[in-house]
Amino acid sequence: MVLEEFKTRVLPVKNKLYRFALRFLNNEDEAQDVVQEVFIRAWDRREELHLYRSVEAWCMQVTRNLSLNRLKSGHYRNTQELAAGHEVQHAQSPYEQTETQDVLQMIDQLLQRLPQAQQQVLQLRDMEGYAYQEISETLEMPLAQVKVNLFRARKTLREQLTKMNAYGIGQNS
Amino acid sequence: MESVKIRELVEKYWEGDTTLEEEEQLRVYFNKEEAPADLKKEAVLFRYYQSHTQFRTLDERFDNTLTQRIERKEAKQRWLTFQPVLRIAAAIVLVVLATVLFKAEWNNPATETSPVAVEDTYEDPRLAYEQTKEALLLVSSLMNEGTQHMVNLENFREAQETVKTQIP
Repeated sequence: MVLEEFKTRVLPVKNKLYRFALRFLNNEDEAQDVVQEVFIRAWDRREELHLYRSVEAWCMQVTRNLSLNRLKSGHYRNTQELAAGHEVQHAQSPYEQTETQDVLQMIDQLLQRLPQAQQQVLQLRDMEGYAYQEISETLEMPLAQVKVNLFRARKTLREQLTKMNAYGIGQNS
Repeated sequence: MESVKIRELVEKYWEGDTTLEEEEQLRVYFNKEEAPADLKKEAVLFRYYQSHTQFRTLDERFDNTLTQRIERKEAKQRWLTFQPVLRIAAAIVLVVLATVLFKAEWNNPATETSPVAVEDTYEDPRLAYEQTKEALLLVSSLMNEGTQHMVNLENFREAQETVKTQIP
């Protein structure tokens, strides 16, 4: 596989890998480093990639493993920089913009308070649109466990969002 | 999409029973339409999902860095692959050169080692003697001519000594 082919066939998965790495590391630079490393490893194995059932699933697994290694290594620099990462889509007035931004940040914090496994399953299903089987393979987690984690994550989010609604937060968004 | 259908889908979603297609319908609905008041929290959540995937992305700088890394890696790899070939080529050149030189030496050993002067260049000994004598006389006369200059120098030295002794 030449570099151009690699760029068109493997590189497009970069954003999914990046968001997945962010879920673990919560730091943009660290997440980018991990994704670079994943692609270098994929390049080293470019002649074998066609043997994998899904290159994307393989890349996601390596992203997960490298992110976990970083967390364990102690060199990892966790910051809260991601809180400002969201852009505003639907609000019109500056007041509404701030309101929406705040709500999105609150959801981000709600998500981060979930257990790691639930966060990962929710991200892969609700944000990346993965099938249960793909999630099971990526996270090396039994299928039933994937469904349980997703159900629990959504249940907690529903409860928390209902509370937020009860306090009138997010009514303008 | 009618709101009854959406409410059904939302309920299925919270129960974890929706398919990927149904979840996609919800995503599209909440990102396009103004949700009714009782579906505000779902609207906010799906907007968060969209915002998350839309804005947490890697730009071209990431691609360029990766491309450079891969190209550097490849250049190094090419050199490493090529290196043994170069080594073998250098060894072959050395062996060939050594063989050629050795053969030349072996086939014609006298050409470079024996000095030309050792070989005889005359046929008649008398003629040779005469010519040698002539050559030696030429050298001798040249040497005598040199000695004559030395005599001049000697005169100069004596004059210098005389001046030194006469001036107190």
